[in-house]
Amino acid sequence: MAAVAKRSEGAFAVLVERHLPAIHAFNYRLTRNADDAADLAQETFLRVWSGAATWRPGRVRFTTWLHRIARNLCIDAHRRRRDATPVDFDALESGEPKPESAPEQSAVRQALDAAIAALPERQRTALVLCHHQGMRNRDAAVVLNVSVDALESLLARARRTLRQQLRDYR
Amino acid sequence: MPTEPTNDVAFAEADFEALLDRHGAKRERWPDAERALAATLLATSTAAQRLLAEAQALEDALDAWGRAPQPFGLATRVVANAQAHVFNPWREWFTTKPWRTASAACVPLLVGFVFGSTAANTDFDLEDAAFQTLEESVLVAFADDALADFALLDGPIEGGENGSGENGGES
Repeated sequence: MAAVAKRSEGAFAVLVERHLPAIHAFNYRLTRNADDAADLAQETFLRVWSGAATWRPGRVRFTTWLHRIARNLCIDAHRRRRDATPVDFDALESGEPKPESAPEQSAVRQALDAAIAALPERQRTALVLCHHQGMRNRDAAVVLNVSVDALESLLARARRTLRQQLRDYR
Repeated sequence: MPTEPTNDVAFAEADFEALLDRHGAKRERWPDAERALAATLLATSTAAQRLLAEAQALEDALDAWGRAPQPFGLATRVVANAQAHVFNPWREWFTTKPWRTASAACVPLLVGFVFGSTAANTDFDLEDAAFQTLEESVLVAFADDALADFALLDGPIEGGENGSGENGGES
């Protein structure tokens, strides 16, 4: 990051190579739109490139900082999209490839999709950060700008809701 | 005085469920202190084993949820996009913090206020100056009139005295 802050394009390329897959997956899980996920990943790394000098190693982990930028951009994009047209998650989902062929798996997946889409944004983000991005609870709390207790409360509510949905479905 | 739990197993299962809610089903994510307690409980409680199985099923479903392949060439585009970005330190300084942008937006307002205040003061001065000029003009005019009056007064008095004297002298 020190090299990126000094405008080293080689160092920036290495940084992108290392962190882009995680950020793209994170954006996709929050937006559920492949084009938005790619655009927001570009924008996230552009912010990193231009703001690298503002990152302080002792204050927050780089991945935490990166996810915080990405999350803020996702929220902005969602607000713009919501103001323009309401997001139809079912329609977005219908365009996605479905690797499962078994009807039961597909039905469970659809039920889970609907349940996750219905979660409040902070619960969904907390779950994605801790489960999919593999973040520790305290780092995810920094990304969401909440206390660790508040983050664990978000996680607990999300997991309880989803578990109940799956239980009801089965 | 603290109340003792009436059913240790039920209490521990509630604790275990809360642990699963907060940290998920992966044991390596559980805090050390609770991991040992959970292991003891799982060895004996079928209810705890059922809770863990449910939590694992949810995690398996979550693992499969929301996967999207990264678009081909995205990394190259990201790097090229950054390289094409012209670094402008002034713009970066203004845009990295919202309060800076807000402050910059207030500058025209401040400039307008200062110019407006200055212009108002100028108008006052002009009016004041005009008033003074008018006042002076009146005084001057009055002074001229007064002088004229005095001249007139002086005239007839002098003339009357002279005239009457002259007229009277003549008549």
